[in-house]
Amino acid sequence: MRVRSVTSLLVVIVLTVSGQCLAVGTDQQFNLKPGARGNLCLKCHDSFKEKMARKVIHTPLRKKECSGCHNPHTSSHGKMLASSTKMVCSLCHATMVSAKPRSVHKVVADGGCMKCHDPHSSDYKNSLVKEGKSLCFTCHKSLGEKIAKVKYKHAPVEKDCLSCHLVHSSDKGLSLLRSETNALCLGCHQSDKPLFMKKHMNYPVAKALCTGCHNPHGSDSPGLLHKNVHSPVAKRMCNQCHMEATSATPLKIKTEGIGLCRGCHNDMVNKTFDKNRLHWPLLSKKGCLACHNPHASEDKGLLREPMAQMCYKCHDDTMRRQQKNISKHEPVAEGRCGECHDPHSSNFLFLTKKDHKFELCLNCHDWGRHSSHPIGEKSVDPRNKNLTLGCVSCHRSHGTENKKMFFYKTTTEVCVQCHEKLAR
Amino acid sequence: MPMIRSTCVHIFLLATVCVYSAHAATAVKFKPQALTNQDSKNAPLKNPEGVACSATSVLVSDTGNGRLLRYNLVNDDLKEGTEIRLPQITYPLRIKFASKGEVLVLDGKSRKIVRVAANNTFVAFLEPQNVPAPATIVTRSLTVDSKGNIYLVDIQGDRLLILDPNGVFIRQITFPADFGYISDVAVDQRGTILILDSMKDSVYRALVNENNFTVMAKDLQNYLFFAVSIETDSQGRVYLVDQNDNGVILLGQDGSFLGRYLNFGWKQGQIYYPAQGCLAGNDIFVIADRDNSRIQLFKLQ
Repeated sequence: MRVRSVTSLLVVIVLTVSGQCLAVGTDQQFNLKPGARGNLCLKCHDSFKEKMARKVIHTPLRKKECSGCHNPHTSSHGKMLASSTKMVCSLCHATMVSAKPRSVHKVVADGGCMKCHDPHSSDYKNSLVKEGKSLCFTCHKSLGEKIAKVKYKHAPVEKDCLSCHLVHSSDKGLSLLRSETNALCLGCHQSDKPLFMKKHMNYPVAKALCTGCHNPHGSDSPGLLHKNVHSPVAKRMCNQCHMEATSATPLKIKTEGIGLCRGCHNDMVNKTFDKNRLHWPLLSKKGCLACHNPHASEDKGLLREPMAQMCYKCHDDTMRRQQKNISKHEPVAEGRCGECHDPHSSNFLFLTKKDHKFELCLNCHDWGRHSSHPIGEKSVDPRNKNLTLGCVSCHRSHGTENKKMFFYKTTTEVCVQCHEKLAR
Repeated sequence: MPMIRSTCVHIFLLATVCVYSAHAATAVKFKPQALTNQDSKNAPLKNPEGVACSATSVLVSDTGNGRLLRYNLVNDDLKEGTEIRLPQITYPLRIKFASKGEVLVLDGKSRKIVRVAANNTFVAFLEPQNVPAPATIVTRSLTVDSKGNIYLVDIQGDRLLILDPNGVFIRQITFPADFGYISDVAVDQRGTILILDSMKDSVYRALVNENNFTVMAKDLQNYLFFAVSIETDSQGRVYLVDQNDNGVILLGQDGSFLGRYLNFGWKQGQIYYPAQGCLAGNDIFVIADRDNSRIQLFKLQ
């Protein structure tokens, strides 16, 4: 009895140890002939001769330990990998992301190591698939195009993205920046230099956020200012909104909240507040600044981000639903929320520019006027006598999981909601 | 041996009954009970966004028509529907019963809170007194507890203001760190304050006399899209009205998810962009069914 239990224990130990070996794939595991390791694989995988000739060869390949990453017999993963990409790489490269990062490269978090690295060999350092900026611009294509076109270029960007960014994760900065934004800028641009101070009207801007006005990737405006600059900033009239540069609190704004903006945008503010429904963030502590950057922005209307990104920050549910939709309303899919909605205020539900049931749709869809189906204020909805028939009686304005932005799967299902007698 | 077997059977039955009872205490059914889409003169409602409940009556913010309607709750149905039209109220949103039979109405256009007397006349605007800075208050929603104290969601000051029935400041609780967008408040019978974060799909609570909010339920995005209204019952359960996905979510006292009820549609029992919910007498849940331009009553079973 005792012998049996000892034997069982030994079997468990052997299996455990062999299981661990499986991860790294040894000669013993596959019972290879002496000298067969790696060479055996390369007999069939002829193309590896070329890979082996490159400058940088991944250590397991150099040691001809193909089974370090691949299972030569069976696998549930692509390329006969012994495990998922993320797991395979982390067996040796476990510490690519620090314990408490402030930002992590998404591709790293997703385990897409091979998007940047060639797991076998490369002509570039760190076995990268491309060299320098060109690798980054494979994914960040639009940014690369912008940088190539801009009139005023930022020297470090011309050199390499890694001047400012880290590649895997950053402990100190957002967006993989090597440190806090300002600390990074001030590493080169000394804020106590007379020219620097003069350009910034003697305001202690080192305490502000440089990227609030400047685009570090380059710009068509002198001083690398963002594409759209708030008029007082462009005219260097900082004291229009801030206290004087010589005061004890030079960066403090003269009035809190919407009152400051009202000084110039009085008509717009009056029109906004004259409507029944206000966009609540406008009345929050941040006021206009909840959506707008008061200095400069790449986006029209000094929006902090492109409109869709801006709106979806709060209306995340709209984005989640949109992802499920098969039929998508074009302006929604393209992030043109302002096409139908007034982001400040409205007299209509959903802050639409006109009544969302019918009138709003006619802005683009002339067909609405020629519909043979009863529609409009005089046509009562048979399902609910308090409602009139409009486009949204059958279609959902943002889109649905069904064709033609219908609420229901088939046309028949849509029709029989009202025409019950026709239901089969 | 037979005695042991019968004891086992009894224990099994007892356990089954206990489990069933526990389940029955938490699970709820929303049975469509009644609906109204007109006032006492048969004029239609238009996009109502607020409902206030008491044991015997229901006040409605008939928002699209710029008026209030007072209904009597008779045999689990709404009767009458007397119009209250006041120049101080042009776009009523949230509405709550207060002490002395008064009603507090948040007007969307002026963003002021209007006190309306039991006889349907204007009393005064609620002017919070002795409130610490910031001086400007923007009320997004409100509620009233059993003592008549008033709770205002102040989105300008990122805080919840607690006032006595006369509007005099008692205390304030700042919104939790990293809040998204606080849209509503409720107070249960034990005095626990609950606030709803529509953006973060979370509910925070502060027990009686606590001066900060802690998470009660978070990451509810698997169950709802964009909740805008919060209500509690005598058992401490929490009802969230999900405006953008047309439903009601029920949470337990501990914030656990108990169920999701109702669906989108135009027919009775279905809702379309509900704006506010409240619990009336006799286990009736009343919903301002905004885009269906009606008020619906559901019997909780």
